[in-house]
Amino acid sequence: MTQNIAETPNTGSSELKQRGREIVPAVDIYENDHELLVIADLPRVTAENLTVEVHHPELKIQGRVPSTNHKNEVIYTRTFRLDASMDVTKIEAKISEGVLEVHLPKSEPYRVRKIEVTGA
Amino acid sequence: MLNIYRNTNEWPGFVPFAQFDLPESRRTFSNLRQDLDRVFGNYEQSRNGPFGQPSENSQIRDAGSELIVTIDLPGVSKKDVELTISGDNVFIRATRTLSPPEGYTAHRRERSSFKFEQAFQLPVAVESKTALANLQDGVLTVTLPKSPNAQPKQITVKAG
Repeated sequence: MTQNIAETPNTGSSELKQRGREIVPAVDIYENDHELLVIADLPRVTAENLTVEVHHPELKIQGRVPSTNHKNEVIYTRTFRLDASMDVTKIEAKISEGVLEVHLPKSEPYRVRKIEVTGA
Repeated sequence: MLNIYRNTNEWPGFVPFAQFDLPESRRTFSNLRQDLDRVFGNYEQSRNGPFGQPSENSQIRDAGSELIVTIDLPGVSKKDVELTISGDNVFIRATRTLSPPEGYTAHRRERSSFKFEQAFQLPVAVESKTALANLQDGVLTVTLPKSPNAQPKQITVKAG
């Protein structure tokens, strides 16, 4: 199994502690020949309150559940460290039914290719 | 003197409850529970909430003329939710069945399939006929109008 993605623990900013509650969302990570797929449970998070950022080499997912009372605000945070095999310019993310899917395509040299063998 | 433990490593074997201030201890427990949930999957969710309490992902709110129940159900589709209201009892059942996407190798699997079942008694009688349920952004929202007798009323206090 390749180590193309590793977790960076949440540090818990002081700003956050004052404002709300931080939750570490459950995440699945899958890989195939072409990409990594990160799936996270983010109930109550809508697309406009969600940021998926790459500050190379880190991929940061942060979803906010706003509340009229700031103390009740919930912030989902998860950060992963990517290695060089990902093409960070082509990352795609979508959220539906409170589930986020992030597709991280592998850059060309790292894709698995089948080479056709020809007989003489 | 208050001892506040922010992570499970610092957790002492035994601490008298009197030493805890409540909101903080609840937070500590909830952190601990999150860690446990991640290790064991949401096993506890399959029945009630953890430790027999209503689960943390469900809330009930009194909005004056109605009660609003919300439950986090990410990735659950409408057909997998069952809601029963009889009198002041509410029963909610939801299932999520996850299967790994085809052709992929799993590196990490923290999200779990679950069967969520929760029964609870409402503090007031509701009009089940006009109740509404909506599943959006992975959250089930149930709006339960209070029955006429349970509607809030303002009583004018007369000076004697």
